Amino acid sequence: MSAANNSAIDIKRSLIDAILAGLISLIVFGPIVGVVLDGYSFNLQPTRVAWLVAGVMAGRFLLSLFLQTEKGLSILQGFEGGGSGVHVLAPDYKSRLRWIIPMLIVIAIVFPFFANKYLLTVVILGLIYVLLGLGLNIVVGLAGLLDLGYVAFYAIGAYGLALGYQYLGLGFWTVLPLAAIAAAMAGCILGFPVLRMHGDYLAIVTLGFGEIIRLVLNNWLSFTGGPNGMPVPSPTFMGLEFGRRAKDGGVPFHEFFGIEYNPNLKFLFIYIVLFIVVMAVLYIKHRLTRMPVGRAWEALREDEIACRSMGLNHVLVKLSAFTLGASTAGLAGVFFASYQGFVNPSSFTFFESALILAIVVLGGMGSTVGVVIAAFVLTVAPELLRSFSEYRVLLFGVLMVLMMIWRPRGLIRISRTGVTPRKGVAP
Amino acid sequence: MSDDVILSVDNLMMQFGGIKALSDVSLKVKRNAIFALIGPNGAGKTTVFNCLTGFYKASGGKIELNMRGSRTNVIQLLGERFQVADFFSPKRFANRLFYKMFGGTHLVNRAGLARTFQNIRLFKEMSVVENLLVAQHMWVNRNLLSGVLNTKAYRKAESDALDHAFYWLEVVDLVDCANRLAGELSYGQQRRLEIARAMCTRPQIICLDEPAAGLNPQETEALSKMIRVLRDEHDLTVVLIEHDMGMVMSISDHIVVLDHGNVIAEGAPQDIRHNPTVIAAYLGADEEELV
Amino acid sequence: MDGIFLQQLINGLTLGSVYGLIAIGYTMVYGIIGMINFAHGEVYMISAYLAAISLALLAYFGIESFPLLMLGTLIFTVVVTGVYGWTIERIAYKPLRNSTRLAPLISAIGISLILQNYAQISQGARQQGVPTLLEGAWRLEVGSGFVQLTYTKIFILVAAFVGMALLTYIIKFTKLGRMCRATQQDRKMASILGINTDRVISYVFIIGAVMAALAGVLITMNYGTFDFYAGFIIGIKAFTAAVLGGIGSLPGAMLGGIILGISESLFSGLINSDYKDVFSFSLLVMILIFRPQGLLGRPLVAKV
Repeated sequence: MSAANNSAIDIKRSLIDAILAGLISLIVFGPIVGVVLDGYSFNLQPTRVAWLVAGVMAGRFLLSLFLQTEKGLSILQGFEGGGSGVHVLAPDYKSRLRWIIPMLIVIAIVFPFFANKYLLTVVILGLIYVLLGLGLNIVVGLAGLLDLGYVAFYAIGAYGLALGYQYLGLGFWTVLPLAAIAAAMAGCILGFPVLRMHGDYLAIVTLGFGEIIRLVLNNWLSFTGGPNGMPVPSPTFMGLEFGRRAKDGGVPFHEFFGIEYNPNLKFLFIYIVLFIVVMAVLYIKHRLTRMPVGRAWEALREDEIACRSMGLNHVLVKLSAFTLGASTAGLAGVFFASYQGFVNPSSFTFFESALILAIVVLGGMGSTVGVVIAAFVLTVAPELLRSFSEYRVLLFGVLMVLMMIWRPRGLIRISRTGVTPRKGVAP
Repeated sequence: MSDDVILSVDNLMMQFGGIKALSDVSLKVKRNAIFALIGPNGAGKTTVFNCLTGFYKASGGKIELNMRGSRTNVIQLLGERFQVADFFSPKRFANRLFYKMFGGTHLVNRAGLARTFQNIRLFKEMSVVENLLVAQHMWVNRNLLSGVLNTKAYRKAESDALDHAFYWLEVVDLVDCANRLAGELSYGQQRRLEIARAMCTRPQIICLDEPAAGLNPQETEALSKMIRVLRDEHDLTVVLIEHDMGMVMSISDHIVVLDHGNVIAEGAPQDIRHNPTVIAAYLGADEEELV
Repeated sequence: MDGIFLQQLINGLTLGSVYGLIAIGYTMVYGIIGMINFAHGEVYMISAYLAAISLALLAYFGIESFPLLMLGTLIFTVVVTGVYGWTIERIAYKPLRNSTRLAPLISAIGISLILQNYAQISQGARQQGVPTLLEGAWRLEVGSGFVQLTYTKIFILVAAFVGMALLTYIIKFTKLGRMCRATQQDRKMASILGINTDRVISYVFIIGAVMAALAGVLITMNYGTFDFYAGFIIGIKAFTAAVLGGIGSLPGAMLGGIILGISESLFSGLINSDYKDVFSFSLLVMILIFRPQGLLGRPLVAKV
């Protein structure tokens, strides 16, 4: 289209677009939204349909108008050009994160002194999702493997603590590493056969695996307590408990240190340990992207055949990403279980996997900072917007579709580190 | 097989369903030579390549590499079917199972054979240097712990890998592009980068699949020079598929002509040039084109 | 014992033929754009709602004869679900045609969440039901027990068979079918030959949705109840059926559906009904490990 045509906005065309969209939306929304089943009869709700159709028509009309303007056209062109948005940083580039990270650490240290219990629990939940997001980010973002049953590994961690306590008498500290290992092993066993095949199968197999785990937890009444769930012990610090009174005549934490009893102590403790773990995982993730293994993951995502021709065992490299991601979820599960005090299968539905995926998608595949921000936005925002909770899943869905259309790589540009050129080097 | 032969292919056969792509191909590649595989379109050249490099598992025949002081059976690396005898010998069974589980193309590369692709396969969204670093995966410090802790040995290994990468960038004249994305490079640069990347796996044989396709005459000339440098200065054996007869005739030490999955001629360039079978195989290709 | 076995066989056959209908949607979409359409199960779920709504509406207008009810419901459900299929493809997949490999998969997950929540919000989270339309059954004495073959089941089997036959005819003998097959073989070449491949892909999504709609009507008739979450499990199972039969192959989808339906019914009837979903998913994992090309599919050779 030439520039001369752009100035004239064709309102008629937009109107036709809008009417067509209205017709389609009438067919789509009419029956499901307008006719609400009530037993074998129904109630009519035409106003809802009218609003929806009007909304779609108005939206389509405005979109159509906008896409005829020059700005809209350039955006459209941008889609078709498909610029990847990846760029290489200059070798001497210093990230602004140098300032942001210490600041965040200071905030995190000061935070508990001002927080009440509610705030503390919200932040703990946020941090748990940061952990989950980071783990899945390795799998989806770096290695390009779509894992839709991620929640299964989370469940392994959480139930690991509950079952370990019930049957073996294990506590928080013992289970923490064990859960990571158990989740990693489960990831290995599931991943090894599946990762040999075409990538998309992994998505559906993990989806099935997630459901299997949930169904087993739900149905194995004698072992897991079924839908009622299981209790989880409170964490301890060097064997000291955080309750007002310790069980079996022990000394509780506050008496031992001679401080006043504070019912938040348990959450404070979880917060501190969780924060340390999140920082460690962040650091490891940061290092991984610069290490041979991280490079190999990204290379595999780009071109598997080329990787194989260069001596990389694609199955093992992918498996390492899958396993690492799984073990992170295992860790998160332990924290989640101790935070909640009990576990039941309803915390580990497919929706949870989708939520974690939404965090990764929104945060930008392969980007660490984005994931941290997205985890907090997606877990804290629903807490603040309780009245919209009904629409939460819908919003996540819309978010995922829009993100894929608008920016398949997420909100933050992916930058690659640059290297100072070296000249005259011998092999 | 004498020690002089670095790669020998015997009675290679390849079938896709009912289609026989290769019926009986035998060839021997001499150490430190430039070996060309030519033939009309659809003759099976790329199939031979894919069998050599382990992307296809040959239906029959034998491929043996003789490098780094040992002989490697390529087909075994890819994991063969279990045979009855395997179930009686635990060692053979374990061996076969190992290759079935962990075998594959990558082992061929580790044995010392690198390749490039007809339609360039670079990591387009990684920088040029990163492309070369990935290629050195088997040669760097892959220990997770030392990487996370950034130990001295790890830093040394990474720095060596960078040195190696820049050395090859210099050879293919791409040092100035080191910090660009591989996908942004021009076609000719991408071809050169792919060769550098293959070289970074430190092979003894490099298989080039139509390296001159899409290059202009100057670039082709430079490429020929580079291939000679690889042979003369880096002690390399080069196997190439090429349609540019001028280039093939000028640089090859030995040529094998394939047609319909069979070897129809082999020999030095001047023998091939005047071989009537070869000329007949290139139906429509006149003698001038072969000169 | 014999009676139970035979009864489960019949149940499995009906269930399996419906799985097969849904599996067609997976297999055709996968064949043509190489993508797993995760939202397909949800399309089925929507069609179940549509069927119930249509039945309620028709009953309101006083239509009570079974053929009229069935015809009305089928036409209504198939048309509206077809529009759903088209809209979903248009909004969520078409803009991503040249995007990264993961993008359409994630977008499909998004659509799946949207449809689930959309049904939940607009229709409520409770279970919905439809009245039994076809009363009666054949009873056969078998050994010590008896086998019951309800008219509903017979109707389902016949309808599923007719649907399959119609689709096979379309794919094999019509111009549309030729275009579909050509696009499946080589999308670029097909578009060079003047086939509007974008439109063919839309058609494939519509065909998939129509088959899911047929399945929706039939399953709703059989079970009588459903909820907004029904699409998820059936979606995975239908995908299992598609993989079992060999993804990309139409007869494979039907065969896979029937095998899966029968084995699942036998498992739940004879071994343990709590774990029948676990059984199906494990079957999926096993097939992918030991025979990823399925029963009727061709092994994939990676193009280098």
